[in-house]
Parts: sequence; C-alpha cells; structure tokens
Amino acid sequence: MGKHENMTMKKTFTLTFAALLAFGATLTASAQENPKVIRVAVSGAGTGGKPASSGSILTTAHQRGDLEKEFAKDGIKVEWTFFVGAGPATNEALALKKVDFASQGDLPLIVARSNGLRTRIIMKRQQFDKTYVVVPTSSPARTIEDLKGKKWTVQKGTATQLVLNRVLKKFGIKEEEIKLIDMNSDSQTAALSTGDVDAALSSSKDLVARGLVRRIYLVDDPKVNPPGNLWVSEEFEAKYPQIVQRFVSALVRTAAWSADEKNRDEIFRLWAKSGTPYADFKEDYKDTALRDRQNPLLDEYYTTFIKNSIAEAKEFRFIRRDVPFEGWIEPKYLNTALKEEKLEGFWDEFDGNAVRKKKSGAK
Amino acid sequence: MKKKMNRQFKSAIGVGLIAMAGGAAAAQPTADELLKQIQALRATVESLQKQVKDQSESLAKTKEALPTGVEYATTTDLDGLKSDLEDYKYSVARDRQYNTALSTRGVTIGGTLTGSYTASTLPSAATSNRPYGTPAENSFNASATLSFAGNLYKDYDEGRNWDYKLGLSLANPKFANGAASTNSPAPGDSVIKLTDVYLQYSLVKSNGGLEDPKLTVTFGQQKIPFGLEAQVSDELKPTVSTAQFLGTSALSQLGKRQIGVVLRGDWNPTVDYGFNYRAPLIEYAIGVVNGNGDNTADDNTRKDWLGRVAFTLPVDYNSPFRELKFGASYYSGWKVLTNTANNVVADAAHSSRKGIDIYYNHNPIGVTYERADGVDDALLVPAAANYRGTQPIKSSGQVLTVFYNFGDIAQWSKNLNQVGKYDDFWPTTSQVYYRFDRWDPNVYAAKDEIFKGTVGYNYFFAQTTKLQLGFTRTTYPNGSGKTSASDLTALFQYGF
Repeated sequence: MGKHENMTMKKTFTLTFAALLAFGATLTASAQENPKVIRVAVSGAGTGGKPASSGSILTTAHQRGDLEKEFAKDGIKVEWTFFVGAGPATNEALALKKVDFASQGDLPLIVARSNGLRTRIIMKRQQFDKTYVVVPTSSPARTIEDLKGKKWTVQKGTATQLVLNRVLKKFGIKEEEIKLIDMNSDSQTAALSTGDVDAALSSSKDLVARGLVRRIYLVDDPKVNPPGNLWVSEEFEAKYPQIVQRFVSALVRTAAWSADEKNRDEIFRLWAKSGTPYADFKEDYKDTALRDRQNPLLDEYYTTFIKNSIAEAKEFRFIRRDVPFEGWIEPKYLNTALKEEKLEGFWDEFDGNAVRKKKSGAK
Repeated sequence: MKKKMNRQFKSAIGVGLIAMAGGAAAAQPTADELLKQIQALRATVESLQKQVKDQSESLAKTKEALPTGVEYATTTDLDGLKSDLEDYKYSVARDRQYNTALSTRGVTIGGTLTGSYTASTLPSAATSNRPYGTPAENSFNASATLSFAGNLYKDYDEGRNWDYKLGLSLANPKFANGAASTNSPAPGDSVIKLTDVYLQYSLVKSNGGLEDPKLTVTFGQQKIPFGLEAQVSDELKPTVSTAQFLGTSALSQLGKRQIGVVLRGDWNPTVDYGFNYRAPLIEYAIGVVNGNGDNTADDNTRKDWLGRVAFTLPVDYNSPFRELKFGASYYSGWKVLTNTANNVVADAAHSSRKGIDIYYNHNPIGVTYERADGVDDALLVPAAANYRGTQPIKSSGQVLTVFYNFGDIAQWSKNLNQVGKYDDFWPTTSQVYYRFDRWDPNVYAAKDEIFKGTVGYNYFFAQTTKLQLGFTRTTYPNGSGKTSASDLTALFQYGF
C-alpha cells in the first residue's frame, strides 16, 4: 500500500467518522426535540383509589384534558399517575426517573430536595386551602387544648404532618405532648368513626355529614396551610425546555379559566369526580374568589412559605441536611406564559404574610 | 305562598257571606248598607288581586335572576331519590347477606397459581421413556398456593397487634413416573399441605411511625430467619430454582418451614419519610423450633435453636449504599440417625449451620450473596446394626445472584405499585439475572461438588403476575465421572 493510498484511506476514514458523528448528533438532537410521553404524577388519588384529584389548576387541567389537547398535535402522550402513597411515593418515582412533572405538598418536596433529588418548581397549583381539626362525635373535646395528651393521627411524611405541627405550635403544644399515630387516610377515617383515635386533620365533610365526627377548629390560616407546588425534574427540563414552556402555558390558560367565577359550578363538578362531594367545594370556596385560590404565581407569599417550611422541617427534625434554595424556583416559564397569554397582572400577588400586594387588573 | 293567598281569599268570601247571611236573618238591609258591603267586598278582592300580581312579578324576577338552564327539584323528585336510596340500601343489605363471603375477623385472601415446563438433558427418574430426539426429561407442572391473613386484635393505643396467617399449597407430583415416597400421593393425585400457620404478636409499640423499633413473636409453622433465600416467599423469588444448599438432601432444615417460636426485631432504624424508607441498623432474630420440618412432629426430645443478626448501612434513601446489608446466621439442632441394617434409631446426632450473607438492592440493580456451611454428625457405618460411632460431615454451599431491573419497576416498590386506577393496573417490569450456585455435599470428599450457572429473564406484568425463563447449566469437577446437564425452565405464575 502506497503512501498516497494510505493518506486517502485515512482521509476517507476521518470523513466517514466525522459524517457518522454528525449523523449521530443529528439523530440525538432530533430524538431530543420532543419526548414521546410526558409523565405527570399527582401525589394522591381520589376516594377509593380513583385516578383523579381535586382542588388545583393541575387537577382541573386533568379533568378537562387541557394538556392532552396541547400535546396531541405532536403525538405526545400525557401519562397521569395518581399515587395513593402521596408525596413520598412521588419522590420514589422521581428517584427512579419515572416522572417528569409532579404536584406535591411542601414536606415531601423539601425532604426530596434535602436528599439530592433535582427538581425545579415552575408554578403554584393553588393556595389558601382550609382544613379542620375533627374529633369523634362522642368526644368531650371542644378546643385544641382539650386534645393535649390525646391520640392524634396523621399520615407521616405528608404535608399534613407539617400542618399538624404548625397547628400544635400555634397552641403551644409540643409533639411529645400528644400521642401521634401514623395512619393513611382510609385508616384515619375508620379510626375516627370508631372513636379509636381522638383527633385528626380533615378537610372532607363526609364524616361530618354522617354524624361520625365534629369539627372543632377551622384551620384557615394561609401561613399554616401550604400552597400547592408543581415541579419538573431537572433532567427533563434540561432536555426539553420547549415542552416545559408549553406545559406551563397550557396550565396558565387552565388557571385563567379556573379564575372565572362563571365557571365556579363547572369546576366544582369536575373536581367532584374525584369522589369528594360537590357540596364540600361549595362550602370550602364560599366567600373566596376563585382567582385568589387558583393562583399560579410564584410570588413573595410562595417563596416565603417554602423558606419557612424548610426551617420548620429542620425544626421538627424531618430533615437533617440543608436544602439549597438558590435556583430551585424557576419562574421564567410562568413569566413567559403570562406574557404570551396577556395575563400579566391578572392574578394578585401576596406578600410574605399572605397580604394582598396589588389589586389585579384583569385583561 | 299560593296556599296563603287561597286562605286569605276564602276568608274574605266567608266574611262577606256571613255578613250577608247575618243580615238576612235579622232585618232587610238598606240599599246603602248593601252598597257598603259590596264596596268592602270589592276592596278585599282588589287587595287580593294586587297581592297575586306582586307575587307573580316577584316570582318572575327570581326566575330571571337564576342561571338559564337550571332545573329545580320538586318534592316528587326528592321522593324518587329517597326511593332509589332505599332500594340501594336494601340491595346492599341483601347482597351482604346472601352473595358476600363473610368472615368473623378481617381477612385478606391471597394466593398464586403456577404453571411450569421443564426440559432437561438428563433424566431424573431411572425409567424415563425417551423417544428419539426429545430431551431426556420434559414435563409440565402445576401448583397453587392459598393464604388467609389478617388481624385478630388491633391495638389503636400502641399497635401491639395480634396477626395471623394460614397458608396452603397444592401440587401434583413432579413426575408422573417418579418413585413415590411415603409422603407422596399416588400419580394422578394432588397433595394439599399447610405452609404458613402462625400467630404473631407485636411485643412493642408499633403505631408511632417508621422510626419505632419492632419486636414480634411468632408462634407456629413458619419460614426461619436464616440467610436470605430461606426467608423469601415463593412469589418474590427472582429465580425459578432455589439454592442447592436449601434442597431436600442438603442443609434441609433451612429450606423447610419449621414449627416453633421465633422472636424477630430490629433497632435504630434509619427513616426517610420523604420516601417511606426504613432501614434498621440492626435486625435480629432468635428462635427455638422442632427442627423436623413442616407438618411433622419432632423426632427427638431436643429442640433446635437458631439466631440471626443483620446490619444495614444507616444511609438515606438516595445514597448509593441504600439497602446494603450484611448478615450472619446460626442454626444448631439435632436429628435422628437410623442405621440401614434394621432401620433402628441409632442416635440423635448434632447438626449445625453457619451462614453469612450480603444483600444489596439499589433499584434497578441488585446483588445478593450467601454462604452456608453445615456440620452433620453421621453414622460411620450406617449399614451396621447396633453401631453408634459417628463422624462429622462438613458441607458447604454458596450462591451469588446479580440482577438488573428495567421497565416500570412498580412490582418492587410498595409506593409505585399503589396507584389510582379505574381499570386494572398493568405495570410491566423486566429483570435479567445471573446466578452462580455451588454446592459441596461433603467437604472431605473429592470431586463431589455441583456447580450450577443460570441465566434468566423474568417478565413481571400486572401487579402480581410473572413469567420466568431460566437456563441452567449443571457441571461437575473433572474426573467426577458425572455428565454435565442443561435445563430449561419456563414458569408462569399469577397471584391474586
């Protein structure tokens, strides 16, 4: 083989290799343009394990098929999973790379972050929820103080546990001063019905309607009840930022629809498909504006709440390590969506104390 | 409102008529008086007409204020609803009485149905008919298990619960032409055996959450806490075959369920509520059992003792060392030695087993290794009557399994396996594995080891169903005079 031939071979090989690399790169790029499936996890399921949930922008979008409509034109499937095991189950799914977007309460979200799971919070799902401290009907308890030293039940690891800790703290009761029993929601219902536990947190009215429990305290404090979170995995965001944008934009449109009072009845009917009665939502939302509750903004109220939750999670020893806050909340998708949909200023912002900062100017 | 109007109208007419009747009975009224009466009546009628008009307008306004398309429920509608509800209540009560299986205590019924096919290049029975071109042995098999488990006492105060389990297994003889032993049914029959039969009591508080240490005592027939594979229930076994050292002719006490009392506990768990993860730093177990296997009375007066301790690295869920566990087990017991000359019990000989194990299951990858060594006193001359001299026989087994999961992986996670669904939930997970299994029945004897290398593929679909394929190559040391063999096993199992 002559020198020339050798050179030609080398050149041919180099060119071929370069072409293959370029082809591979093109393939990779095109393969990453769009995912085939977007996997959305909801931390919780409806009554009796129904694949449905209620009370937020995300669940409304699920019932209306808003995300499916958005991505149908590209042949992208939206796959929903409703984890009965709530936030902790969603965390395991994230650790195993089985979920791209998810809704969660603050405690599991924070624990996951402290454990190194990488997420970006892209919008709020809802805020200013209400819940009640309930006791069995036969209970002599009339106040929270009466429940000192009694058996409380909560599903540990969920955001409700942090709410309970906040309620107890508000009344100067330490966790050691009550007997805390770990139960999922179905077991809680059974134990409350039979009077085997003394108290629980519950927003549902069904046990009240059946005469099995009494509500003794309304937890209607926006600094106690956490706002709902929605995150995307960092891995998905890095691969498909354009999909994240479309996802958020679609939900912002859903949020705008959800803020319209003329849809109040329809929203409650949609949510009632989860098994929570229509009347519960009607009562829960009485005298409150949909626009305030179904508010997607990552405002000062939201960021302050999450920072406080991190501190509380440490105080109540749910986490040992620090939670890096910097870069966790990513508002750019929401801001772009608000601009594109001409919804800037549509929702009010609230300050760290949940006080309205600015009256909204609906456009 | 309408009723009220009617009442007022009738009252007015009544007053007028009474007035007229009264007048007629007394004296004839004058024209003026009659005129006044008529005027009074007219005023009353006009007042009533105004009321009717006002109320009609008010009703019209109310209707206008309400959203269009809204329909109102009437008393008849509500009566219909009440009727439907009563029908439903009756239907539920009747179904419960006649068409629902009832139990005196809460019970969960579960089980598995298994169909399998095995082909081997070597016959297992001496008289295997082998048409030309077929494997030496190939057979379809079927088996089933059934279990009833529940709670006898639920202690809401502290979680010191009483639980129970009853398990049954049903199998046909492996080979229709196999030699029947005393416990085997005749070909064509099936055998039903009790498997798990126990009561379990929590000795410590257990409802405070994952951070509570556990301590239970279990009475009855149960799997024993030795090593890894001896404790795993059939539906969770990754491989079709069990480790050789658990076989019936090997360290047999370990592979069988035993009847006795076992205390199991743990201490200082690492808890990660963010994932419902719990990994006790120390797990321990200690027990006393008959040592003669399941559904069999003890054959000697001495009891067998066993103990196990395991250490799991105290790391969070997301650590790469999650679920890295090291364990050590010990079993000491007695078994009857019978000479083969006249089948007379010669002695109760001592047996001991020592085991170590390593377990690492960091989804999606996993590695398990365990080694078990046994020392069994055996008759020096089994064929001699009235001779009781014994010698220790040492045996040793090792099993290494490496596996990798891919797909939904829901079957391996309680969190992921419980999702809200209207229809059936069919997560799919694949698992590939390799297993190396070495068994040396007598460490002092040369060239009697058996090596089994297995590659397998498991396909899990639905929540409780699996298809397993395994190809095993069995080899022996050079010069052992034994022929290597290959086996192919396919197993389909679904749980309910």
